[in-house]
Amino acid sequence: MNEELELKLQAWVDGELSGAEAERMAALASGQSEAGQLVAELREVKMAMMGADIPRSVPESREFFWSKIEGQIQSETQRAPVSKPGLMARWRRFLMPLAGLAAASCVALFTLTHPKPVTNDEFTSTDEAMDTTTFHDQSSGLTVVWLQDNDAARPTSVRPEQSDDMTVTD
Amino acid sequence: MQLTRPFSLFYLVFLAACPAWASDLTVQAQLVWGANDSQNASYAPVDTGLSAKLHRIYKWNNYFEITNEVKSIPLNESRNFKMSDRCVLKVKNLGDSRIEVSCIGQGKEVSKGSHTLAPAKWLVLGGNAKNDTAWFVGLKAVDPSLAKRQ
Amino acid sequence: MLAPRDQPEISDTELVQAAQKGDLAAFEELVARHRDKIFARAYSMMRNEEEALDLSQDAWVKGWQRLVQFQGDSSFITWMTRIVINLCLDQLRKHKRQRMESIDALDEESGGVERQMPVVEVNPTQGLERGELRQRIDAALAKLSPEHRTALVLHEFEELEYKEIAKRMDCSIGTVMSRLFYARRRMASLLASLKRESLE
Repeated sequence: MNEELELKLQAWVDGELSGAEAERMAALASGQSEAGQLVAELREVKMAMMGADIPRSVPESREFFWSKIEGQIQSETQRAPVSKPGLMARWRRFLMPLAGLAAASCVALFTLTHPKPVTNDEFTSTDEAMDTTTFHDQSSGLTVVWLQDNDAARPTSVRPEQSDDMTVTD
Repeated sequence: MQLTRPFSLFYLVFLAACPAWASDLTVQAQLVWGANDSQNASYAPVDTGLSAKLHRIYKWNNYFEITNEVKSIPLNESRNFKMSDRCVLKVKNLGDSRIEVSCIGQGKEVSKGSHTLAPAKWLVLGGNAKNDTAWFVGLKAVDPSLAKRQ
Repeated sequence: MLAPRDQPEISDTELVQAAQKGDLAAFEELVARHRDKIFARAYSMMRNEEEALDLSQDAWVKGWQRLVQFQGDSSFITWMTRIVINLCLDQLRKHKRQRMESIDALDEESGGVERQMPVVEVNPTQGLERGELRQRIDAALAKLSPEHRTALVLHEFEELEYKEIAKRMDCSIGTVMSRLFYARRRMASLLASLKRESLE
């Protein structure tokens, strides 16, 4: 059998042929033993493959997996251009004097005596080759900052059966 | 910086109202190694409290304590916690149980952030290591009696 | 805004509609519901857990970005599967590297080895329990070249027609047919040899 015939027999097995061509292949499969054997082998593999798609679970907890997706979505959003420059320009004109006044007040009150209070927990990467992801586990009171080296393959690190009360901050 | 009289008064009132802000913060830093291989006789398992928390989140079967340091950090000052030859944490006491942590790997700062160390709560920094293992540094505010001033 | 975790009976359609209006929590619920399937498809093509994780995450990000384009012509999971398959195909193209073994190169270009092979006479799947068969097939799939495996996965698991596979793999229908043919013959041979090993 030549290659073209073999591929046509396969196409017939896969239901890709119709009409006269399909009838010709059906006749060949039943009339010629070599063709019949090939068709049997192809069908055997097809049947074996049915339902052989092994289900797999993501080897990371729901929260950890989502935290990385959310982080990417947010960084993509921040890169998007501002769509209403007119509105932003107006807000800037309104806010700048207020911001200046607020800053001056803070400096007057706190400069000599008290470090400016930092109100947000935040970890950032100061190395371009590193990414950080922070998440909090409320029930165990654990805050985790994961430092990911972008130059290395990203291995899995988190158990699938993680608590549902994890929250992610970045 | 010289304090003028009005600001001195303001500062004293501030201190009187919030005594905790003027105090040292005692911080414990533990370097932990996460691995599936349990044949690491040279390292002891990390204490059960932190181990249980890490087990809840991470996939590794074993967590070994590599180093453990406790230092008292005066307000607005920093102290270095040498975790290994390649890793130093610079921890600054910002007051009110708040710290700023710089993670320095091989002499280069790789991450920086701030965090409030609430009592009995851990801050854990982590990253991957060779052979599908991981390193963690756990930071916690502890009883000052555990520290030696440096 | 929906609180999907409190309302497990919310359908995918409702979640998609909410997400299309910007409800990230609704999208997160969709991710949670379907992440395993998307990861599994990526893994079946890449056969590498890390890459499959990365690609499935990238697929979800793309899904969010393109959500307004989803019209409901297919199910949401089918739409997402298409996205992850395309990302995997892009990645496989990037990964295409010189084969060390000349036999693999021959496989890819002309299917030379499998063409010469006699038809497998021992039924490679006879007598196997379903679970055992699945494992054997999985092991055999891992041994195929990425191109052969992709053609087989897209045809047998995704049930795509030749012309759709050709479009996705950016090749001719003739190439798809060749790749499928030789993938199947290789699978039959691998399953037979795995069976022989187990009998020894």
